[in-house]
Amino acid sequence: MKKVLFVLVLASLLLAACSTPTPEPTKAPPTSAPVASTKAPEPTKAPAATTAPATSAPAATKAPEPTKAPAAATKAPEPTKAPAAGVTPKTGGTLTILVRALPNPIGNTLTNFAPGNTLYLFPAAEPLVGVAPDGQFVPNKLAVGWDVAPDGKAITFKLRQGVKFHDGTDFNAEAVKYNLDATRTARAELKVITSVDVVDTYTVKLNLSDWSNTILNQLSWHNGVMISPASVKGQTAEYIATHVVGTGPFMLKEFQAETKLVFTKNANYWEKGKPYLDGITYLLVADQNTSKNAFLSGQANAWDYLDAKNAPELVKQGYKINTTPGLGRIIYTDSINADSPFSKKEVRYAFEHAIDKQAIVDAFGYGTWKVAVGPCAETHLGCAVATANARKYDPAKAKQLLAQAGYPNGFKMSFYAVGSIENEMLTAIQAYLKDVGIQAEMSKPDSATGTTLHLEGWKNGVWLQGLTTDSPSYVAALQSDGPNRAKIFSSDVPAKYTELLAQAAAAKDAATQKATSEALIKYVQDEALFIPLFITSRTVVYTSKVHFDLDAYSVHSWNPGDAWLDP
Amino acid sequence: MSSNETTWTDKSETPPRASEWRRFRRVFFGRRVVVFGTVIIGFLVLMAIIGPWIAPYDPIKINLRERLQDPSWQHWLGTDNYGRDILSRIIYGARTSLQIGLLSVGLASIVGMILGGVAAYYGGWIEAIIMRFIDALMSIPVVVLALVIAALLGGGETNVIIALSVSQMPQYARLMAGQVVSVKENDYILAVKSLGANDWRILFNHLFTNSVAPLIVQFTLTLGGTILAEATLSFLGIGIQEPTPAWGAMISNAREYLMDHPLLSIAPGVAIMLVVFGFNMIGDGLRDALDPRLRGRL
Amino acid sequence: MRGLTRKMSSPVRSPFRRDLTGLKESDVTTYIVRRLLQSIVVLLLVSIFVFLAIRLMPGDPIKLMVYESNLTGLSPQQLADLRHEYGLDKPLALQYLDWLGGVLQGNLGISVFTKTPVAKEIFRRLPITFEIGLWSLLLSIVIGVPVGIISAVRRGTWIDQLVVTLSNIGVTIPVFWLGVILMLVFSLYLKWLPVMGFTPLTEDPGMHFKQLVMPVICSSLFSVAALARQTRSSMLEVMHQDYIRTAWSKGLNENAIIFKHALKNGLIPVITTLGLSARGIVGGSTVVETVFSIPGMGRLLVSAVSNLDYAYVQGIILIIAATVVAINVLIDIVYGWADPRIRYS
Repeated sequence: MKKVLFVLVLASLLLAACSTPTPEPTKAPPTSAPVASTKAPEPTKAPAATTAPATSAPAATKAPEPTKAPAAATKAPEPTKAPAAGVTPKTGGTLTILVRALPNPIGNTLTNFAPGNTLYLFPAAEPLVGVAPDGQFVPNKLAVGWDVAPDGKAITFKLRQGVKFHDGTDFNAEAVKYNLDATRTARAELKVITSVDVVDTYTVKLNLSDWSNTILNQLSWHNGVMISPASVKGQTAEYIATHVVGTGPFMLKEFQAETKLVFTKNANYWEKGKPYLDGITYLLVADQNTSKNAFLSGQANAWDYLDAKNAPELVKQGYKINTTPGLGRIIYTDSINADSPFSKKEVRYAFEHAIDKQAIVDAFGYGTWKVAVGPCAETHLGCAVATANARKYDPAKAKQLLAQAGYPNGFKMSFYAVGSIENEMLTAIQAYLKDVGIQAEMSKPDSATGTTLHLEGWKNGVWLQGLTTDSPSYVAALQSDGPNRAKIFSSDVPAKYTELLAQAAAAKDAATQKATSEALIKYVQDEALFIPLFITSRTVVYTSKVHFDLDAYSVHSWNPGDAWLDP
Repeated sequence: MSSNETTWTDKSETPPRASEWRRFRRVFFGRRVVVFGTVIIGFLVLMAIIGPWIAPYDPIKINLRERLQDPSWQHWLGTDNYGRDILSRIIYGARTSLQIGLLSVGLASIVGMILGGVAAYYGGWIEAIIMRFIDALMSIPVVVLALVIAALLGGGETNVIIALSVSQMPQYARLMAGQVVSVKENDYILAVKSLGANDWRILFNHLFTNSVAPLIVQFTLTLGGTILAEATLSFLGIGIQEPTPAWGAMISNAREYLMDHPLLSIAPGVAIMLVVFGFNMIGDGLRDALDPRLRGRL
Repeated sequence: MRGLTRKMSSPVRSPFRRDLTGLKESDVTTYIVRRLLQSIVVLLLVSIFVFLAIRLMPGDPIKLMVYESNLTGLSPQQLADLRHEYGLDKPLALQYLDWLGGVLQGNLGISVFTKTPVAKEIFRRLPITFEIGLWSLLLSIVIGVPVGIISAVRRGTWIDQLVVTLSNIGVTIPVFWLGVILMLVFSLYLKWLPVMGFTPLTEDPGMHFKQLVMPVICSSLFSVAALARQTRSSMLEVMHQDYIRTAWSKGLNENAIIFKHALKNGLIPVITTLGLSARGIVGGSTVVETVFSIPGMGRLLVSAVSNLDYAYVQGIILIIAATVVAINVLIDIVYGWADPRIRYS
């Protein structure tokens, strides 16, 4: 297993780099950079097909591309984007971040964790796989390397050694097995893992029912987070629900549901010299206006997920702003109901033509939103293919399509949206629909009602929801937010779609991945399985004293240990 | 034995006559501030009625390219965050807000009067059951009740009205019960009873009509508060939905533009202030004119 | 005749006081006991009402939890086990009795979402909501009543005009809007007070009180204005009565008249208003706690309702109702003390 060795060498270099006493593991430390540049053929997309399989197995032709692992591995010594060159991080201080929502409960990662909670978990618990800001998988978290079996039906992870959970127990292969055995049965997206074998103390093998090119992606967020088995086994439900005992740079000190989440420094963190901060505190502020005033008055260093409309004013006042693509906004229709107008493709087309996406983006996005041209974000692999068939704002055409479908005078419908969806956007959409004769009754059901509608279906209406843009993998995005009768009961899932999705998930080399993704995008677009609207933004504002790898501050790739504050 | 015991019930046994009406007018319009309140409400009611003919723009027509404009000759109060004319929305909003106020207080008072009246008239078990039920409703704060009702029925104008009326109803039931208890022992009612009138007839023809004065006063006094409560419900996300223009929803939605575009909040704020003030003044005036003895109690 | 009834034909009665026939004069103990028994009946009704209402709401808490926690891979058997674990597979009546039995033992149930006993969290937040409520009530009395008296005594002067105008404006301002204005003035421009949050008294007393100032102002605004209005008009009413006129004509000292004679009678309706204010303040906590991001019971309720968290909603509403009922029992007793006519017919 030359490749494993190769990865190990790199990992030890990485460790060496990180364990140097000076806390300067900033952008590409000089010690490791040359290694990376010599061994890495090309740090850009999909070089793996040429390197890894060729060296790893005789069955080179059949070897699946182990996604971007080798490429990522070469990039490993460059953990994430760090403060501007020449600036030495200072230690101390507590970073206080205002947020809109907190997990409820925080603990119980094994059976009770959702994607949106990943962010609040990362200070205390780390996943197996790390992600670089550019979306490449890197072994900078709990796995120092991985190797995909030639037939794609197993992945072997080499684990970081000498890592301890906050409760003093060792992080090892047994712990990984314990965590994954608990999650793989509870989460649909991990069902591809059929069993977990402990090879030796620091090697663990995941057996897969079939190759899936999204598995590393799944193991890089809440689904791949490792917590101490001792913090779950034999503990009361209450203890489990309120404790996260991971290996992260910070330890969970206090959790008050719907109020705050307090982390303190983990002095025994495996990466020496980190974390720089004494702690991170999340404060939940439900009202945006209160958040704004609290931030401006200095009650917090950062404010996350603010409404785009606040951004320009805050920039003018000299605050730093970081904007990353947020959720895409897409619409599901009740296309399975034969008596619903939306069972007709023309109506779904008309719906998209009726909305002036650009005007809404200009009015409420304040330069941070984008129009969703096709059923994907431009960061998704293969999305460019959708441009040619984009359905542009054209009310006349919308009316004509409606007439064709037998609704010359429009119709009445329900429009559901849930969560922190911008009210203004909804009102604007409603007004555009009215112009072509569609009377939309907007409703923002509470989450209970919303879930029921999702699971049991709705009649004659649409559902506005998110499409994740966290990873370039369109397949991964569809796995969590794509058409799925188990999640969105009323929206049709043609057999062809399921087939295309399976093909795309099993694609083994970069070219096939791109081609299958494109086929998938084209199909979703032509059938209007869902109606794409915009790609919103996730905006964080922070004071000039805050230094943190904000470019990487996305759900998958944040490294809380790198953050620091000017005194 | 206080001196103010029976005066007003005695008086109300005789229907108002022409001289009473004159006295009513003299007292009611005697206070300038009451006149002012009446003028305000009159103006708002007029606005609600003829709104569609005087409003310069469609209140729900958005124009994203003209959003957040300052006041101008085209838009006297400027435009809101959707580019809608604020003045037009205020004018149309009078209709929604008055409608919510009148319907919810109206519903509350009718149901409350019937329940309270029946309870007090029959007494015994009927009273015990009805009044404990009323007590239970009354022990849950308005906002909490509205929150539960909105979760049960969903948002929207009808449900806002239901929520507000359910939460106001107990007050009327109590008031009515109190009235009926004090009136039903009167010689006049006893006489009617001895003549063989049936219970419902007595309840409706005699007891209700004789208890109406304090209820009218209570009605006007709670109207303003109800319109204000709509704003609170909007803040909690269970009020009137966009794009319907309603003052409460407008002021709640304008919060985030308070610093840069204060007019968005001030315009509906002033409107709410005027309507609450107006109804309170009319309530005060009615109280003084209909029954000065109620002063200090309503 | 009715023993504990106020004989005058007043339409205003304490919200919870009722006519109690057959009581011996001055039998206050019996009165209080009966009043408490009634309160228990009322609370039972509230508990049934809340229990049924939340179960009639659309949605299934188990499905909701499973969906939000991304547990869509669970098998039907596992789901059934979960449902059984929370007793949600039993008939409604049994579920209710189970819950009621628990409540009587101080156990308000376990949240499906947090998997923790809700009583602990509720009782952690209760003091926060109550503290704000108490300060607000106190502020209402300390400001509202004297202002009302002054205004009544100085009727027609500029002070009276000012009080009338301000109290009329006070009842027309939405609480959340006032909150925003206060933040802008006291936090952003003057920088005197923190915008939001709550610090326990034991942790930092200075911060504790600073953070309370704006929430207390907001939640007391309405009742200050209402109390001032009420005090003013009932004082005016009393001062026109014969015995006060007689007192004047006898040349008694003004203060003596106001404080000895007028005030006591004038305050009776004020006590009623206070009872209503208490209910309003407890209910208003949902708004004030959201505006100032205070981890009290009100905010918990808002989120519990939307999460369909049965145990929390039932527990919180029951406690709120119990508080309101208790305040009103207390007020009835005070009422009896303040107005002798209630006891002696």
